[in-house]
Amino acid sequence: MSAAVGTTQSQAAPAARRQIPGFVVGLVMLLALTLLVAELDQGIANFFKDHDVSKNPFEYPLTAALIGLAANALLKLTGTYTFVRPAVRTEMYLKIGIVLLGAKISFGDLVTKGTGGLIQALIMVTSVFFFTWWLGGKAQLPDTLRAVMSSAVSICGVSAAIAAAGSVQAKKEEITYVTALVIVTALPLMVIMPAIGQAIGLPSDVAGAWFGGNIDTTAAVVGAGTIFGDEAQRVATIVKSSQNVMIGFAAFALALYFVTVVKGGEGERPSPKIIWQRFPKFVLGFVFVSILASLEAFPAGIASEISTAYQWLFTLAFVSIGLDFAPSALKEAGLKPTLVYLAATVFNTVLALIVASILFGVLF
Amino acid sequence: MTTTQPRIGTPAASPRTFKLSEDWLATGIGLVIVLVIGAGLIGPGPQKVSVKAAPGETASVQAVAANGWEISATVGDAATPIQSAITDLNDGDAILITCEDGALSAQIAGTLPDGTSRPDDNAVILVTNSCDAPVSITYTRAAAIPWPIFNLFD
Repeated sequence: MSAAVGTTQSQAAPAARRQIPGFVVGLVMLLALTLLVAELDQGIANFFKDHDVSKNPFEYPLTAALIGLAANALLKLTGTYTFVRPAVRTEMYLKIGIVLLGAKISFGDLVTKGTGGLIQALIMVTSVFFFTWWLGGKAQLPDTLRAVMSSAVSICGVSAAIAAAGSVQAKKEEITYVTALVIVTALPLMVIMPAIGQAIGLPSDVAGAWFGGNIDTTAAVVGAGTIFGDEAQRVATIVKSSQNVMIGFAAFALALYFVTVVKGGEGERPSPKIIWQRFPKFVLGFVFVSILASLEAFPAGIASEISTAYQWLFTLAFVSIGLDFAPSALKEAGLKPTLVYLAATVFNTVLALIVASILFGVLF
Repeated sequence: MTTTQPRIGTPAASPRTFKLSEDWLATGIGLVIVLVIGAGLIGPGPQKVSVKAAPGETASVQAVAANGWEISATVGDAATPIQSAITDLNDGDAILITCEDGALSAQIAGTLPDGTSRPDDNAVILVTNSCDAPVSITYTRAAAIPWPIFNLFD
């Protein structure tokens, strides 16, 4: 066993080195696409301004995702997609951007909205997890797939799916299917939900809480919030971050459940250390920068420059969402898991709207 | 014969290799960006603004909101220090520099003289010259790495 691990590690380093040229070329390509989005965004805004439309209805996350989709198709057509794939790090760009976003959020606001976000996360995570678990059982999905899917829908998409897969020792293809489902559903939700929110006249913080409580990937949550407006972007990010911190607890609970119930006590009992191992540490950076902002460490000029930096990082993430999009992966996932996932997403959407309306429309 | 599917487990820890997780890496990069921007190493590029006021006149000029400006001043031909010079400019700040009896002093202006306005996204430097000689004020700011594409999304 140790020999096998050693072989894997010794093979990993050259494999990573082989990816460096693709990463560099891909990053340059992503930066060029981001610059294109910025230029297009200005052109589109000017077009609407010239036609007496004060608010640009075609916000930059949408432009970025569409540019990403076009690049995705072109790269696959030319057979270069796999080469540049190492630079498509949606979560990485987004996490750096979220750390910077802390400069625009006061700690008081973070505590208030974060408390609401934590309460909402507790309600949503438990309700959506058990609904999806139950529905997966009805559809006779394997327990490991049910666990991975329930975590992905109820907590935070890909990261939660990976954490849950580690806890329940899921098959590799199960995590691949769930990841594909997460990515394929996130992009349409990022566009549709702000439009519905605007159509039904949701207040910004309720809309932000709705996006944060429902959309599975953090990148698409931030994208939907950005499309809706600045306040919605801030609330969506805080609520999603509150939900993200649940990963560790869910991973621990799942591991404990699988060892004690599914495997009937066989196997090693999980350590509570897993809670910290799976904790999304970038949230600490986000809170730290928010505390600095609350201590007035950033004059207005500096805060404005930090805003520009996170807009660039978010745009990199939104372009990456388009580049990640692979609807063909749904075929491999199969009909039953896809239907369970979609039904759980509809349940999640409706419940999140009700809970966000009560918590952020009435209580906070 | 049974086939076993590869399963995801907790990654094996290696005692001799250190790999930073994506979360810590993102946090580190984010904090470095905050530090670099906060220290003024990148920003709107090198800046230099000057304003001159003849005796009895008030003149003004706008400057980008940023920290760490260096200020030089002359009354007539003589270099003159500014008492309580303000080197950090925020959006909407109005810095009033007054020359009286050959001495210069600076303060944040509450109300602005007629004919001048407070900008939303810059600072304004006002010079009121009650001295007998012309006053010249120069604000300069160097940036190690100019970032010309700042504010492209505005």
